[in-house]
Amino acid sequence: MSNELTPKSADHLFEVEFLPLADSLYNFAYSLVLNEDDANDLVQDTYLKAWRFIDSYQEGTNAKAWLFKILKNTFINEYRRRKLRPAEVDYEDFITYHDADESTQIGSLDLRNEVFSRMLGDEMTKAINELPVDFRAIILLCDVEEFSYEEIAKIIDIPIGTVRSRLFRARNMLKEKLRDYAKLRGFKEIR
Amino acid sequence: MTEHQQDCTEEDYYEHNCRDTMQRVMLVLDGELSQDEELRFMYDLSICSHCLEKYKIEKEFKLFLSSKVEKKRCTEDLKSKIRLQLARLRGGEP
Repeated sequence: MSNELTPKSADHLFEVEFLPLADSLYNFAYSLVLNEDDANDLVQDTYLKAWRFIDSYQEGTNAKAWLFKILKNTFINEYRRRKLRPAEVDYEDFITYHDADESTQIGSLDLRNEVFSRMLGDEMTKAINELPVDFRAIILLCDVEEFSYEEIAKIIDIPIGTVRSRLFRARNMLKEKLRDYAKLRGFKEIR
Repeated sequence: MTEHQQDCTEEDYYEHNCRDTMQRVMLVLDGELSQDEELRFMYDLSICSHCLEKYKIEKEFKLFLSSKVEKKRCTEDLKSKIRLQLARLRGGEP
């Protein structure tokens, strides 16, 4: 425990700032692993590591971003250890390729059509969960948790420019999936 | 003048660029532009109906995404378990 942070103030920090973030952390964990058991483990490990490394937390700074970064690092280390990320090199190549390919064209998807207004949340969630993990993670961090690009860059250790291009690509991939769902429901697209 | 700028005046033509405005749509919706940049962006929208329409579509998409996606919640059991583990650590248990 840090000399600067007494056990009592650490308890206070956990109760007041860290533990109320458990729902957001769990949601992020689930989006990475897509199953409850691993998400539970990931959140528990995150809090235990936060306790062990509380020295490195500066009070008054962004507790949420700090915990999300621990969770993301735990996810990467655990997955590497368990070798649950097959063909990792190929996957990274895929990410790099797409990050480098920032088109200026924005793929539009007009959600004002009634087919989309009736679209259920589980279809949106299914579409997001079908994206590669780095893409669904960045959508969750930006569009659900509302982190800034700078915070996202720190959490996932990539440059801000890469945050921007990856987000752009992730949203376009998501739009394509939603467009496919809509077509299945009989939506005829007018381009 | 691009095909999307029919509604821009000759004077606007030198100020506005659809391609440049489209590149800033995502940034403005994510709150990544400065106040001045945002004002400039809004000006661009005010002089180009094509850009305004694209902006509305993207704004709708972002709202749809954040409101429709399922948000998983941590169970009370897990919260209790975490509290118990932290209490053990405080007590000096490994």
